[in-house]
Amino acid sequence: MIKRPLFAQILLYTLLTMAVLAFMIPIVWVILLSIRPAITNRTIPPTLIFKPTLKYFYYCFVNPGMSLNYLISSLIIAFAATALSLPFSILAAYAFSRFKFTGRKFLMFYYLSLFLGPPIVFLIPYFLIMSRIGWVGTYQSMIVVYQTFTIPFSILIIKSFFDEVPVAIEEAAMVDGANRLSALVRVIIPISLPGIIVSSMFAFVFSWNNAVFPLVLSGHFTKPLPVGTLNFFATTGVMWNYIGATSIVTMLPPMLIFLALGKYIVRGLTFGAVKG
Amino acid sequence: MGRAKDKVLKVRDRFLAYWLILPSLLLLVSIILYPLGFSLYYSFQNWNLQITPVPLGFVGLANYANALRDPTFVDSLINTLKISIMATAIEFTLGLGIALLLSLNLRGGNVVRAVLIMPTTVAPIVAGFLFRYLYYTDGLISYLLSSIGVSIPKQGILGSPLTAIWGIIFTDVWEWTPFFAIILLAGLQSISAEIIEAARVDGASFFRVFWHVMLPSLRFVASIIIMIRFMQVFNLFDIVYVETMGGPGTSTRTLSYNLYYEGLVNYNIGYSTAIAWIMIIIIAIIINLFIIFAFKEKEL
Amino acid sequence: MGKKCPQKQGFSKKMALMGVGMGLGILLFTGIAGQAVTINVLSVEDPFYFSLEKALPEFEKETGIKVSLQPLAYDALHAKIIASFVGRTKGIDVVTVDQMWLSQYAENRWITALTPYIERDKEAVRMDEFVPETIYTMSEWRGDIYTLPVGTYGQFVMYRTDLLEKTGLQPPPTEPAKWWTWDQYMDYVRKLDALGEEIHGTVICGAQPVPIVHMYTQLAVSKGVQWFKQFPKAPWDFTPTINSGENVEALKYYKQLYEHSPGESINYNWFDAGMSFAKKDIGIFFWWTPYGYLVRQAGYMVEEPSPVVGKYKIALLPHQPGIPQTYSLGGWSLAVPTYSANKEEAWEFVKWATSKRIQKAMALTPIYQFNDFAREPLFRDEDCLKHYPWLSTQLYSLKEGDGKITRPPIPIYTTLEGFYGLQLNMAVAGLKTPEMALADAQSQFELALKQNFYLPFKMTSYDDTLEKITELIGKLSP
Repeated sequence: MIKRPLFAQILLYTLLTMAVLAFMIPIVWVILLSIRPAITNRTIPPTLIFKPTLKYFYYCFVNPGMSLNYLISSLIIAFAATALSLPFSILAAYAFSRFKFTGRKFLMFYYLSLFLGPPIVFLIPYFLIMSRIGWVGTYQSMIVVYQTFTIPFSILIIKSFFDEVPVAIEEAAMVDGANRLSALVRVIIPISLPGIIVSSMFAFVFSWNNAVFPLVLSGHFTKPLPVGTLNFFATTGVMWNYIGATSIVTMLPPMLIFLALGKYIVRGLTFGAVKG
Repeated sequence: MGRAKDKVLKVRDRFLAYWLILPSLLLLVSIILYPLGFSLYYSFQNWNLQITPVPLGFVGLANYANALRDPTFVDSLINTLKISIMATAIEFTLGLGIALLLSLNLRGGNVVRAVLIMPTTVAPIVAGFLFRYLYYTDGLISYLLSSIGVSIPKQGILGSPLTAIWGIIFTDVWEWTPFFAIILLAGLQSISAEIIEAARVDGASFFRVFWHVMLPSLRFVASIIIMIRFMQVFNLFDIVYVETMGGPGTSTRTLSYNLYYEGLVNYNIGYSTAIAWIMIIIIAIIINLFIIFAFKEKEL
Repeated sequence: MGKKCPQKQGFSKKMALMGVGMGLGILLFTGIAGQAVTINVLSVEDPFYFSLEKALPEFEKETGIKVSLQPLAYDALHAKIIASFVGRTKGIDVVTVDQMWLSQYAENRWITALTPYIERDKEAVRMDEFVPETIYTMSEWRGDIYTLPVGTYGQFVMYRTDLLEKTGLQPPPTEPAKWWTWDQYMDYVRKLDALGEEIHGTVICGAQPVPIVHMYTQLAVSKGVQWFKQFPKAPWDFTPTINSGENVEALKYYKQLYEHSPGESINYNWFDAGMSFAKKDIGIFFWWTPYGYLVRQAGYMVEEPSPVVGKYKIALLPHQPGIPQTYSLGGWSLAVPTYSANKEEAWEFVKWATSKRIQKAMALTPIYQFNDFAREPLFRDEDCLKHYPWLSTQLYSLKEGDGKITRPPIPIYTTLEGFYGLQLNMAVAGLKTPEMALADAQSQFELALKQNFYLPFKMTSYDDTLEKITELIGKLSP
């Protein structure tokens, strides 16, 4: 432990506190927004003392409960998009991890750049294609389109986990008579299960937070939370308390997931390039 | 640990590799290459859905030429570069500062680190909602700024062409600085303590240690996250859509928002697909530049 | 032996299955046949939507047709409608059409011409009751009627009686008067603005790209501004005239209005502007006629009254000397998409929702937030006048209304509107001079029109006049 002069200590702790406050205040503010009486929404100076109410949550999620529909849609889409990506990603990640083949670098780069490409570029052709086959407004349109990021992402993350499993283990399994594929299924996957779960959790969060694709492809009954919340921005008056209540629910699963992910955050956010 | 890729394989296994990739590749080809090809094809056609349900004819590169001559498109390119560079620079600097702070093992640091990740978990569109509320002339941020003497334009932060772009940048900074902080912190913590000790023992000041030891070790990590983040901000849409819809005027219109507007509001399919391809080319150039300059030594 | 012969077993199995199959089939068939038709109606959330929703159960009882009424915000509605047309979705049976979108939908044959239906049911439809200008603006394109109006808006002036008293100025007129000019109006705005710090002379709608165009174009058309050289009179010439001297003057005037408005009004959309009259201290402003009743409430469709109830009156728009007055006519009408599978049922709904009886019922539904009629008798109806005493003033703005030159409904209208709104907003915000902004709008218009083969216009024009539509209405009346 380095002994620091008192002055330095005070300075450092002040800076730390300021940083924490700067990042936490907007979140605390929206929590307050979801329970404060509408009259106190926009006062100067801001109202800190008020009688909290749960009626906005009630309106959003119970009666008439529009946000409940959005919540269910979000869950369906995120789970399905994640689940759909798994078989494809696991197979591809295994190949990238274990084999050195021509075009490997190119393909990895291709997957990474897909991730970095602007989603909007895909939106216009998707809109037209989905319109033609009548999928606009359905869950499957979004679930399929989400694969443009869930698969590349999962491939990169799962590959980094596969890389950590020593080849010796597969070889041992293959010596016992298994072929590569069953070695994958029976040995590698169970060992890397935490990694696969981590990857799925990230894929879930990215699907959950996606607003661009549903903006165009979702219908009245299939809107997920981010887009559904836009309905509260009626041209006839923005209903901030409802936006606050719905936003809290939208923020919760990703926050909880990230808190649970712990040491894997770094690896996830850098798409496998950096191991925390 | 022997890395698999160093091993020599039997011929059978090599084919297996291709078979394993095939499903995901096929899926991605159909959901990515097909739409991209589709949009490339139509970028050479005259097709505005507001006028005709079917394309009107081949026009060569006319759509591309119109885009490059269109002041709105040029504005959006400039805005996007402005926002990307400023946001990434600010986030990196602040993130590095916070990472350094946290690396000092102050008390409560672990709690701070866990809590700090929260802004990054928020969906960008939700961050847009939050900050639109905070930026009102009677909102919290305007109140705080005016109480420390900063004057707020009478149209509000998002209503004035000079400050709207900063409103957007700041929302992104709030959301993603923790991203930089957490990852740079991990990078700092992986620098072996002995190297730092050794440098210190040699009489180097903190600043010299920082500049000559820490930064170079962080180089790889920093390059990756700067590239990732720059590309993400370059594609910025959600925040713009919610906070300013590209306004006031075109001061916050980003490339992505412009593309959305031309394609899905004006339904000018031919024109917007041309814009999309111009964007793809620009992004490909930027990514390649990054890789050449930042990653020449490293293997992906 | 108790074992049945296998073939016999198979046979009775088959019979059993057939029986079950037939039973299910009959059940399914009667189920489908007996099921009521449900039509899907996509609507904007303007005031008519709310009172229409309340009246729906009556429709379902009378006709047995179920209605699924889906509200959408303005941009989302336009996007969704287009998506459904592009995708040839069968599931949408009625859509609400904004005045300017009509030609786009009609030219693309995305909506069905209603003329034959009206012809067939003329006794029920009573076309003769409509103010002809409303049909001309909102429902007719190239000689056919494609929609029927459900919520028709003109524009008028609203002012605070208590604030005006303090200035000693004469109340603005409710009938056309020579002295009430735009110059006079600006004088009123200035004097009201001078009353106090918290008091604003007026409020404008400044948000780009769309809202500002809707308020600005009323001012512009009243000052003689035209978008194109010749439209909708034939032969059509779409050479833009958006940078004319009249328009520069009008934009300068609008900028002056902004100087006496709240600073945030540069970002106000339709509702923000209207409701600021209800919440703040705004002296005088002009806007769509629904705001006549909307400002009575504290919020949209909220029961609580606003602070300005009883303190405001309605007057006619000022005019520009030497230029015949034109009012901006807008609002919503109902159309039936070509791809709908339930056109007859959809037509029943359209007839019902636009009928005199239902429009009156909508107006008399508490909390009295609808008076957007297009049928003339309703403007003189005693029950309606009780709740909306200014109906005669409103009728003026319809009778001299012309949406086709205020906001010309050509298929690429929304694209041009986008450019226009952007430039107007930049000029009012002080980012460009009015001359520069309008010059840029002019060149953007030219580019867009050329790219879409509107300049020069080689397709067939249609000589669209009020006389022709009046004739058509005559033919379609009982």
